[in-house]
Amino acid sequence: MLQPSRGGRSRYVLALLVATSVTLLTLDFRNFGPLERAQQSLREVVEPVAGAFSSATSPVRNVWHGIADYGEVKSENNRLRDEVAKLRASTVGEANARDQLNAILAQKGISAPGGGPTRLARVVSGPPSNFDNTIRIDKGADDGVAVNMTVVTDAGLVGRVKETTRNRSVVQLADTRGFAVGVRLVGGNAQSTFIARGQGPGQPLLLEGKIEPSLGLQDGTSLVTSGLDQSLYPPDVLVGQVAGTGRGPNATGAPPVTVPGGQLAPQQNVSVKLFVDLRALSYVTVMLWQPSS
Amino acid sequence: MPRLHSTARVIAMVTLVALVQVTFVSQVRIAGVAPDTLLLLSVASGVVAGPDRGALIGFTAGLAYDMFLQTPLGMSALVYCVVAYLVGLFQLPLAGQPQWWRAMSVVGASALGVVLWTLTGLVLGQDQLLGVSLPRVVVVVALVNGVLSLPALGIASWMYAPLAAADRPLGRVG
Repeated sequence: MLQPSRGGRSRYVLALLVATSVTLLTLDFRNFGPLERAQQSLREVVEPVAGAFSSATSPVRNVWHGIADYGEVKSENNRLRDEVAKLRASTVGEANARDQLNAILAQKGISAPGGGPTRLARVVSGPPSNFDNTIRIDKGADDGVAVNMTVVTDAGLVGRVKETTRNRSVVQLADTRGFAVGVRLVGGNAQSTFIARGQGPGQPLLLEGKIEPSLGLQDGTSLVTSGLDQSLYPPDVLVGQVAGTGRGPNATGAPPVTVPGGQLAPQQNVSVKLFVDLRALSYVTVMLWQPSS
Repeated sequence: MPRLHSTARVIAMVTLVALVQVTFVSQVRIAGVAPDTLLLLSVASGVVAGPDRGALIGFTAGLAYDMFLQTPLGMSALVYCVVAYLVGLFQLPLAGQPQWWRAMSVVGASALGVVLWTLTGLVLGQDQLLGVSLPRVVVVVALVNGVLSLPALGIASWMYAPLAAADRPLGRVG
């Protein structure tokens, strides 16, 4: 068996390693160019190897998910069957409404929401650690993807590009704690905009500030990106639905609070449930749109 | 020559475990938490090879992990090397203890590693870490690392086997 060493030498080794780590941290915080370039180059070399390894091990991962999530997948499958049946019924009406909307937008010279160039990307891996709320996609700078671009699916907002290499990008998911997106109510006053902020993986976003009852916010109210000046997101990207207000026909959560006199009190900490299931992403779309500043 | 042989094994193993962690283990979630095999390798090296070699492996494994994470470069390297050093130091007076004791050391050190990593992240302004349930991550990572401790200790012994073979004659003299 190996004889462990101790005493002055091991303390010296630890001090050296701690000093090296602190130096790396300091350089990283100062965005030291050569270190960033070295890190970027190394990632460009390693990411394709990691991607190939990920593809090779995906059957084993799938088997694990099949075992671990069997009950959940089964109930979700039943729920989705019901939803598909309802959606089929409403497709005809929606197609008609879309045609009318496009005709009006064309008449007024307004571009359709989300009508800019996009790039379809495959999700190559999920978060690499327990505290990292990002995904990797197989499109990078060579495909026109750049930092801060918005990532969506047909269902709505997924997140924002945080980092790119030549052929890979890292996307920060919308439920990351601190992630902020400007939103407005669908069908509401265009001036009534809010900030929806992420609370952590798997948790709903929260609307910041007090929301006056006159806005009629209730469970099921849909939210889209506001797209105001300085916004990091293009306008009218679906974000999520309000939940837990205790108001509306399908209300959940505590009953609404009233002030003396019987009027409804302003709402605080309103939850927003994202339309997209961020734990089950296979393909996403990068909107090749960048903020104005 | 044994040192070179051992270094080659360490580099190969850290690279392999880093790839497996990022592409496979991190996607295999238990109660929504992924095991941390790089922390396991660091801790097992500290248990098997002592504080200084453990710290070196911890630093290398942490740095390899940092390359894939969005947290500051050097954060995992710092925490993993300190934890591996501490667990190695703790093992020295208990060198003759049975295998289950070593496994328990791995469990304790893994829990400490996750807590230290989170605290370091918060000190460095990584507020997004608050969005994750720390107790759940600590419990799952510590338990899984405990279960995997026997093969991990075996791998750590294998990495340092050339050095152990070279040490043996000196041990007889002492």
